[in-house]
Amino acid sequence: MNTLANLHGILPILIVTVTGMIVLLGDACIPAWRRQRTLSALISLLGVVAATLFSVRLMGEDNPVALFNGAVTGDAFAQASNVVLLVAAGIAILLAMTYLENRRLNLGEYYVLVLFSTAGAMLMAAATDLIVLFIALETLSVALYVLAGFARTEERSEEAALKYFLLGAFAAGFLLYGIALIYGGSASAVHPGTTNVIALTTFLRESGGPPPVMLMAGVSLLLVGLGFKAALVPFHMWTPDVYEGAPTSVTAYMAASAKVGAFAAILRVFDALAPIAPYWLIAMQVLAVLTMFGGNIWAVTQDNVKRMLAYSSIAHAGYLLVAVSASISTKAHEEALGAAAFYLLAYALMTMGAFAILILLSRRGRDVQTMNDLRGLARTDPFAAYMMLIFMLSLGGIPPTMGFMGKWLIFNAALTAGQTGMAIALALASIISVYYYLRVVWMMCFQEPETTAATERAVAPAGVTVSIAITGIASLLFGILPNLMNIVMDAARALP
Amino acid sequence: MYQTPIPHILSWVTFLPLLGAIFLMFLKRPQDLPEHHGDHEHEAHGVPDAPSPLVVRDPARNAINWVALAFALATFVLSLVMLAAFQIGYVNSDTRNMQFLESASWIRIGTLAIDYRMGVDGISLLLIVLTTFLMVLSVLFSFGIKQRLKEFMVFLLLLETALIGVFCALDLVLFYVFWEAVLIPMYFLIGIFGHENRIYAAIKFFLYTFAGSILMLVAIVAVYRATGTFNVLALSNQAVPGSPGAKLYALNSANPQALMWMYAAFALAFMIKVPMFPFHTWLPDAHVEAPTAGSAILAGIMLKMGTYGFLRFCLPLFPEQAHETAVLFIVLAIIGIIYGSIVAAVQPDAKKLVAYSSVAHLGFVILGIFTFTPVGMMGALVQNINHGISTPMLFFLVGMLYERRHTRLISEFGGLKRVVPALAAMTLLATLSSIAVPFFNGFVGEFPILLGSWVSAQTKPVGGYWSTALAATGMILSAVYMLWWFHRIMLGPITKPVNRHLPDLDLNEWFVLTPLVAIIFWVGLWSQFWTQRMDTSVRMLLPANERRLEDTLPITSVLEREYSQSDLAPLGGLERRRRQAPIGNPAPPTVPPAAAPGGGAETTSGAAPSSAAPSEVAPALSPESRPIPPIRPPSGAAPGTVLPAPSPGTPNSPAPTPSGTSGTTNPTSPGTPTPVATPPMGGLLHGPQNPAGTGSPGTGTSAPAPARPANPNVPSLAPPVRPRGPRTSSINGLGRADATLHRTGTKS
Repeated sequence: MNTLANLHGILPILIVTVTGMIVLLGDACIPAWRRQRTLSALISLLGVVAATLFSVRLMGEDNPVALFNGAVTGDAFAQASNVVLLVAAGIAILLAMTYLENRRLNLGEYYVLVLFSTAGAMLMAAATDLIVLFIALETLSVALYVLAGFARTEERSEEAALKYFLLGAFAAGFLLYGIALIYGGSASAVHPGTTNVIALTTFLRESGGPPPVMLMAGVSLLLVGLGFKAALVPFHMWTPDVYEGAPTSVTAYMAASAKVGAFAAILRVFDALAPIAPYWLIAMQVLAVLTMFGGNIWAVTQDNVKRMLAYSSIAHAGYLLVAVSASISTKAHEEALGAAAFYLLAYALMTMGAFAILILLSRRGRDVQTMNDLRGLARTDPFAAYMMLIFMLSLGGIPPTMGFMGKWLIFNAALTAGQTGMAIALALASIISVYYYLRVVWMMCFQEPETTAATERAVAPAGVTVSIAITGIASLLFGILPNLMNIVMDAARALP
Repeated sequence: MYQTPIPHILSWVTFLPLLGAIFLMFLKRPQDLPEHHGDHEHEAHGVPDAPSPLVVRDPARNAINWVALAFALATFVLSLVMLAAFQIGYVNSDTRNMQFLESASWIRIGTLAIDYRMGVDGISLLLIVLTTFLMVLSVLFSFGIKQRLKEFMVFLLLLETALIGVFCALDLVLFYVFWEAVLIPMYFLIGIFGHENRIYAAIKFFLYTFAGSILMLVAIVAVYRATGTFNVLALSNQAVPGSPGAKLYALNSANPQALMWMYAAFALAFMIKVPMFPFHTWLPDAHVEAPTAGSAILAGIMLKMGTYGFLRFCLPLFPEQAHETAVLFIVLAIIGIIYGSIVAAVQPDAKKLVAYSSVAHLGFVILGIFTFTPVGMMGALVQNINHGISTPMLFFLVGMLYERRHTRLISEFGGLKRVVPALAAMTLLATLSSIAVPFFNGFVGEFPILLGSWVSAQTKPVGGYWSTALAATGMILSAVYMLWWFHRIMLGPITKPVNRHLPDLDLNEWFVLTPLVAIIFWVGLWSQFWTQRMDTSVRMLLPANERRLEDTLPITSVLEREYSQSDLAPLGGLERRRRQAPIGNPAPPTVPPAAAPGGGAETTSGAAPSSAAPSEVAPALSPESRPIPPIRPPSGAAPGTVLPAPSPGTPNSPAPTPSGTSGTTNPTSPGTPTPVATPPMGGLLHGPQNPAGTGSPGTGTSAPAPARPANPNVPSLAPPVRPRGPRTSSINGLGRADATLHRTGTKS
């Protein structure tokens, strides 16, 4: 296979990376005049849109599975993940345009970091070698660490970045050690060890019988490492603090892209480990139940909206794990993958939409933090309040929204796989979740505003409004007509 | 074939309010008016707020009001067009008795196929008309909402779309979408426009119903996994071999436990919505805290979603399970009736009293459904509509009182009759309707329910006649609390000086109340208009052998002939079944008189459901319901092996034997005691409501069996519209004799 074909397969990743470099260089070369940030943002958006278009195009093509000697792949599943990630990146860029200026953080690096971390996440979805997966994860993470501390002058932001970095580094160690153990565990008298997931599958299929203990240890460490990124209970400790401390536009982006990247990797890697599923499936299901209930129960007690959304994102990771565990069953394999892709997209849209509302409401120099800040929003700003309603309903999985459709597809996958218990756990967990989502609604709509005077609002945030409109309309539209997302779901189903 | 007056009329009816809501969103937000804060010093001066909302002159307010009313009225008119075009007795083998069908491909994801599938039968059509009708009144009543009027109207119209959607969706997922969508506007109506504890009530309402329905969602998916379709009609047609319905039914033998769980999930969702006794606690809170229009819709229509769910989903999809759990539901319904009545009686809050009375009334409806007799079920359906008329009216009246006094405490009123005579008269009418006084609508609903319960009590181990007796106390108790309520508010001396200057009904309120009164008497005096539209549906809900059982009781058959339209020829209800019976029983159907000891009824009533062995029950049944033959061949075979079903070959062709056969089918042993109350009761019920006089010969006859001549109006060669036989024969084929026996009530 020639280099050109290899590069063609990872074209979207390349576009994003190159755009990031252009923005970085441009930011450094052009002397500081006021408009350059907007220019950086526009160039970044352009790159994201171009990459999205290429991803969609590549979905339809019959891509060779193994690129770069099996290190990465450009298969349809990777492209489907790319689309979700790029949508998240695009919204993150739109969100940041006025928000950062408002907070006097408008630095060109923001867009660069978003683009680089997106490239990392995309590579995570495409990686078919565990070492590449590790590199991709670090690319994603390092950029996110910096982004979390982007509000340099704020202690909370700094604290968030440090906490994220320390725990993240620790988790990366787990991941790396896990990869090493897998390499050792997959070695046999005839074969050398491997970190390639496809070779790993072949090895596991052929060897049969119980897998070596070393391999299983590696798999569990791998799960820990990826679970940290995906914020699964009990590896979730960083999430609320980081979400709360980071600038809201970063939180929105982080909530979406880190999770999508991590789940793309989990789906691919654990799909490859399917031959030994009986040995790890129960662990994953326990994690799923813990994550769903833990996330939701903690979220109920939160008074800070960002922390609440952080715990809610943990709970959503649990729902996604239900889809992952269903995807192991051969009967439900395709359904579960389609459901996972749809849910990831739904999750990205609705979570980012909810954060976008918080950005819209943030006043000069102060973020919306507590539930009380949302008091009486329906009176002061009906647009924001009712858009937030859509996001909350969608997060709670109430029709006719995308979140409902996604949850419904996961139910379907779980029951097809015969995992009725998981479906019921998901149902019960979402009952809990509805309580705190509705709490936001009642704060906004049922309570009177604290002050009747119109609150001082930051500059007219065109980018934020646009992204709210996009996410809101998409959350409704794809909830009513999920057919429109068939292209993404079909692509995701193609994972072998 | 039915005619669709307007193409896609069902979609229009469903989504017209949504269009209205969207249209309203673009109208100018009217200025909020100052809200009354219920301070008593204000009231002490005897200056109640003027409750005349039409006086307010604000173009934006008027625009909102009239646009909302226009859309509600247009929807109402469309639903009336549908009602006019509805074909009574229409049945199709594929689509059952559904009319105005619409279907389109909606969601195709991988192998999943979800369709946009809508249609109505008599039950849902009447509920839709009730919805659109009440919505017009609610909009009219809410003209005076002072704050956030625009949002109120938007949510009201959104609610209407969702409610109508629930009643016509024929795809499980589509149904679920509408079912859940109902919650959102209602949550807002309670939460924004409610009273003091509104947030607590709203969240409780939402969580309760959501908790029930999310498990139903799992069950919906499970049904899909088992059958490969969400099509309700295909799932209901369980008699057609190889159909999804048959697949679902086959689970009865393959995996009855899973089927029971699915049924339980559906039933739980509906039980919470109804609400039945242990799950009713959200209801008083929601009712009391909701604004008047919200309470009216909540009581009038939303509770009907639960009963409708039982009829549309639980019974057709899970017939065996529904029959197996009937006892549970009957017991809970009776508890609900008595408990609801007693708690209602002691409420100091007028609205809460009406709310608890809902628990009791809905208990009657559930009781009627789970009698599995045509008469009881028809009573339940009529009661369903009655409750949708009288309870909203009561809520409107309480709301009117509240607008005048800003209190709902009964003790704050007294002697209002002299101050507001028209309001008092209207309240009296609503009260009497709620008590189920004859000539009022309530009676036409509750009496058949009790009758049906009495009928089924003889064959089901529900405590014999005690169940009917206990349920009947509910009627007495309702008189107690309602009349006492009326007395305390309207009669006696005027205790509070502020009450001396209350204004009487204004024009707007007349507009709201008059149509309700009209319908109360319409149902009360001419219930046939309502029953004949639902008759086909009721028949379809009852399994064949169950019906044969009920037919054996003279009193029922007399009543039933009243209910079943004689021109309902295609179904051939009574006659056909009577002819079918001898085919199924090769032995000459003569009851061994030895099997009739005296105190049979007491034996049954005392027997605990589980302890009574089949062999014991059968003789115990015979004294009262002597025409046992259709159920039990008298050959004396072991009860466990006897199948009451007709022989598998014949059922589709009901052998048009001369109608005289019916006489021989039900040989009446002359000494058998017949229910003494039959003629007067029948007369009471039927005299006024049957102006056409069809079938009236039955009313005057006191001798039960010979008084059932073959109805000459029923053509004997009725086409077999619904192949009931194959269903039973399929049971035979599966060798599930016990299931069949269970259903007929012979067992246990």
